[in-house]
Amino acid sequence: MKKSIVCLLVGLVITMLLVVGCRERQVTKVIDVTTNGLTGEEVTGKDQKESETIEPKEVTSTSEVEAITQYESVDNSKEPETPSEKVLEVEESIEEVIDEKIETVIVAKSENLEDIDERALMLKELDELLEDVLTTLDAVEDDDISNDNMFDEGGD
Amino acid sequence: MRKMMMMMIMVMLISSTTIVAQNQLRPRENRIRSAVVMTSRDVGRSRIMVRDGIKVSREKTFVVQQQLKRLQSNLDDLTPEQLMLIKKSIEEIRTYQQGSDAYLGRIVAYDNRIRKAREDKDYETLIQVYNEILVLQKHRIERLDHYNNLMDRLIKSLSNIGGSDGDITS
Repeated sequence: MKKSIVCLLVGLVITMLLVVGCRERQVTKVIDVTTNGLTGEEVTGKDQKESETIEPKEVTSTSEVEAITQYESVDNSKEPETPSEKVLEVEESIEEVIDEKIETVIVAKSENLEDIDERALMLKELDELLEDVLTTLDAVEDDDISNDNMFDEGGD
Repeated sequence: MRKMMMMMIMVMLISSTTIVAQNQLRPRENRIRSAVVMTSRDVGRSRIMVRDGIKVSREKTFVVQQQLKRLQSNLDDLTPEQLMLIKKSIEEIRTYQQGSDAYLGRIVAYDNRIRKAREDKDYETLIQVYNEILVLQKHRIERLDHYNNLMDRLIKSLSNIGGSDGDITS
C-alpha cells in the first residue's frame, strides 16, 4: 500500500515536472523567435538577394532620368541628329511619363493632392465593399430551406 | 364453450385497451402536429421578410453605387461630414460582411435534419429545428435592417452632390 502511494506521488511529481518543463520550453522558443525577428540575426541570403534586386531598379530609374535629361538637352540645343534606337526608346519612356502625368491631372482638381487621393481611395473602397455585399446578398438569398421542407396541414 | 367465452372476453379487453390508448395519444399527436404547422408558418413569414429585406438592400446598394459614380468626378464637393460618414460606413459594412459570411449556409444545413425528422414523424425535433431557423432568420432580418438604415444615411448624405436627387425606390 505504502509502495503504491509513493509510486503515485513520484509519478505525479514527474508529470508536473514534465508539464512545467514543456511550458518553459514553449516560452523560450517564442522569445527566440521574436528576438530573431527583431534583431534580424537570420537575415541572410534571401534578404540580400532582395536588396540586390531593388538596387538595380533604382539604378535603371536613374539612368532613365539621365536619358531624359540627355534627350531634353539634345532637344533644347536643336542640333540636327539622326534618330537612333536609343532616342526612340527614350521617346517611349517620356511618353509613358507624360501619360502618367495626364492621369494624375485628371484626378487632381484640388490644391491638396493628398486629400484627393484619400477621397478617391475611400470611394473606391466603398464601391468594392458594396459589390461584395451584393454578392453576399445573393448567397444569403440562396441560404434558405427548400419549399418541400415547409410543413403544412396536409403534409405527413 | 367456456374457453371460447374466455377468449372473446380477452379479445374484447385487449381491443378496448388499444382503442383507449389510441384515443389518448391522438390529441397529443394532433397538438404537436398543429404546433409544427404553426412554427413552419412562422418560418414561412420570416422567409418573406428576409427576401424583402434582401430586395431592399439590393436596391439601396445600387442607389449608393450610382451616387459614388457621380462623386468620382466631384471629389472636391465632399464635405468633412460626408467623408466621415463614408469612413464610418466602410467600417460598418466591413463588419456586416464578416458577420454575413460567418452565418452563411447555416439554414440550408437544416434541410437534411428536417427531411429525416419528417420521415421519422419526429415532430418535436421538427419544432426544435424550425425554432432554430427562426432565430437565424430573425438575426438576418435585424442585420438587413441595420444595413438598410446605413444605406439610407449614405443616400441622404450624398444626395446633394453631383445632381443626385437621392430618391430611394424601395
